[in-house]
Amino acid sequence: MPLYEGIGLIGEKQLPPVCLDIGSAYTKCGFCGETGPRAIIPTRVKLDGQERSVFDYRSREDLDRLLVALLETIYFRRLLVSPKDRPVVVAESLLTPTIFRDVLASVSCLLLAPSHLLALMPLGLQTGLVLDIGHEEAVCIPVYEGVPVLRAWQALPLAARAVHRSLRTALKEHGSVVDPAGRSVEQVVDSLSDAVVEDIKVRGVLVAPSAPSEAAGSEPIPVPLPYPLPGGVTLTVAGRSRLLPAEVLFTADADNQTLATMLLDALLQCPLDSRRPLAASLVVLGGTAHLPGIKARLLSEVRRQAALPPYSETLHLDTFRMHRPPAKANYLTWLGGAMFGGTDVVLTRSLTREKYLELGALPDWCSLATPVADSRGV
Amino acid sequence: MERPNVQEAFLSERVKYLCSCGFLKPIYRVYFCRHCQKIRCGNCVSQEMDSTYCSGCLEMMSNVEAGLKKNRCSTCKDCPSCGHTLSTRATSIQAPSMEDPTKIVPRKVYYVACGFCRWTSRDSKLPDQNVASGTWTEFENPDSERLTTLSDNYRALAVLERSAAEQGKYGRQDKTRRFLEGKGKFGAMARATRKQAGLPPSRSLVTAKDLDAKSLKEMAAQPFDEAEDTLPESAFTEPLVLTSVTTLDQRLAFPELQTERQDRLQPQHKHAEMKRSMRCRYCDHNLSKPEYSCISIKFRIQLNAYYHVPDVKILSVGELQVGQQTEAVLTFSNPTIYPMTIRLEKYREPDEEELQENPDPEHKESSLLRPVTLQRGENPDPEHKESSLLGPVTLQRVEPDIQQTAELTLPAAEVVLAPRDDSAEFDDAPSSSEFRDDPSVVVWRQANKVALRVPVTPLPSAGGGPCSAALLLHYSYTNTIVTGESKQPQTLKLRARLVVDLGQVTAAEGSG
Repeated sequence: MPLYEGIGLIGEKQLPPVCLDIGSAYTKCGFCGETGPRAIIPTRVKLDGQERSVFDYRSREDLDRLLVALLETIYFRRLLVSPKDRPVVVAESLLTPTIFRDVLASVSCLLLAPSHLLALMPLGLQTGLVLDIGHEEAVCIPVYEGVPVLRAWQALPLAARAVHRSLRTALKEHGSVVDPAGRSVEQVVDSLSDAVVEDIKVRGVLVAPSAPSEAAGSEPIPVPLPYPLPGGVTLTVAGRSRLLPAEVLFTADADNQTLATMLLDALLQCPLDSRRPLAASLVVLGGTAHLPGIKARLLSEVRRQAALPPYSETLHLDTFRMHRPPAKANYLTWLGGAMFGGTDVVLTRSLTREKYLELGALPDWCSLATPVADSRGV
Repeated sequence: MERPNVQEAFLSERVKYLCSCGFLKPIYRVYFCRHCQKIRCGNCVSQEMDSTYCSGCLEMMSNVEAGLKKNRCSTCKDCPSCGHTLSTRATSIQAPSMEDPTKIVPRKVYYVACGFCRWTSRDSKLPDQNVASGTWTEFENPDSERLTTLSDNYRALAVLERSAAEQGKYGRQDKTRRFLEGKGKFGAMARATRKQAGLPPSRSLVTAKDLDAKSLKEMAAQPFDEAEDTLPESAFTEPLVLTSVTTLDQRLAFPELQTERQDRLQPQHKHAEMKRSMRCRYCDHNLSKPEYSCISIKFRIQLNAYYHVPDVKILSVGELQVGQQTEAVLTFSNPTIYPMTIRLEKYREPDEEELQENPDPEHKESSLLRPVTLQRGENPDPEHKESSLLGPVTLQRVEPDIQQTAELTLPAAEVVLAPRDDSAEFDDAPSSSEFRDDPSVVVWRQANKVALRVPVTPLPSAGGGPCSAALLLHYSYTNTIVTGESKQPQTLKLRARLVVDLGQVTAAEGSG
């Protein structure tokens, strides 16, 4: 009853805005000014009897329906507030497709803020090399004195999806299975749903502290993990296949790129005088940053790569340091958004519905149609 | 014949109704607005929250209370392992007596346990409580103090930014204004008064002067040479017990804790649920309104389509083969207490005449439902602004996705449906005598239900796939709402558009 809600709050400040961080796998939602999100829910909705990810949209109308369904779940099941009462702060990647942004604006009145910039807010930083390892891709954007250095952005599809794919391969190669029905490992692994693969990853996968060397047996290998499946099937995840899936993030691809070189390439694109402070202020976030040991490995890989050519010749840096954020890596961006939205900037900077309808489009950094306001967040 | 299960009988999605917005939905998913006399679906209603309650103890919460408690019930708790509601267990332990520590006496203690997955608070080494409820220590984010300080700083910065922007707006000449601003909540006077009283600057009074570059630097986090998640040796040498590691769902259920170990799980208070009411977006009338009391499952207003629109079900369909006529039997039932006349017609898009006859009112946004407007510092004339900019916003009708892969030979005659009579269910005698039905069309008739024979010819476009046909159903509807002049219920002629999924076409045999 929005009518009565108003009466109790006469003279009070405005209701706290809603803060959303719609990730490709999980959506973080909550209220601005709080220290953690209220809920983290899968970015999937059930529409016409089938469940699918909001990002699997087929057309603009389709995306519109999916987003409305997602927002209804968020507002009416999780936050339990009327969507009309409050402004919305959305933490979103600078690389979000314009159509997604546009549709989001048409379903709610909002303030969009770049996620990499927001991630620095809970740390109280102005400068940082921010690496967001999510579900679809890893995106690295350096932020220098509160300004995202856009020309230095790096993105690679090295994230949860790549780890899942690699885990399936590793299971097929090294795993063994006890199946009363007599199926082979390949058949069993192919029949696993994405949710089960994700569960094996979350509970069993480790990141080796250093790259596997040629001489086998020198590095420690974890103990095999028996994983029970329905129907009396037991899939044994070999020790090696608990380490291998994460290696895909650190193994050079055809273009010689890994998570570590992404950071170094981003540094190379930055102005000379900003490289040193950026390198001493690495921030790693995103759901995949929860893999045990990934940050330690990333730091050691960055140091190793920086000492090798070509980086040792072009990038004369030896100090790489990493932050320990005061929040879990998967909702760090959300927390930044909540802190940002907890301030008065919501009043001065957000895009109102009237304004949106007047413009007919969303002001966007990648579009020249609208004059870009001061993009500094802090 | 195979008996249909409950899911098929009541939640069948084979007959879909076309909503006024262009979506096709089964009858139990659509509403019927008695004021616009149209079918509305979840997409063309606006939702309002009515009341918040806990589904565990059925306690109501006011909105302010729910906000303060973060939408969580203060008594009920959820199992951190499976999400089921926890129950309190009492047990007695042998403990040293209060008066005489050397004596061992039995004492009653309480812990919480899950009746579903057998998780107990003892699994997480949470100490037993002496009282049944209320004394559990609540989880607190270890970084909350730091985060709050940071937030305060940012808030002050934003205030500064805002006041700077406003000052710039009015120019430097406006001295009176600036003087008055100085006296405001954030002004110099307020600060001086607090200082005189020996109070620290209040949270809202922290301004840029307290926030010089130095203090911001102090707040900045310090980077570390080593990452926090360096794996211990034991991670590689000790076997991993799968059940000792939490699943992703267990972690995400408690975002601020997100523990990886099963023995560190902590119960959370039960999340509240909400009762919603639906309002037609076109005429602002309520379509569904539950009772306020959370114990009641009744509705005060419930305009679901299955109370007003004839319910069409498929009784039987013959074997479907491309180009071959077969027979389908559809049942039509009248949910209203007035007689209803139905007539079937070939599907066609609404023509001009029909649109004229019953136009969609302009999509209104009533005062209660207006989206939030931000109170800016100076807004010359908010009402004027809104009317000029917002304009009439109409809901977009999407093009319906109707695929006709069968040809129906529809009976031209009108059929009368008897009114619904709850007592008729106990009456076995057939009541068909009073209607003069054409036996070639009407298969049988029972109480408010009639079964019609509809010949079907699957079209070649069906191929080997699903066979569906659309039809236009004319029905007379007796509207009971009393409008201005007429005090009597009036009978209206309405239309509903349906898509019937008749099933799969069996492949033609041989050269067929």
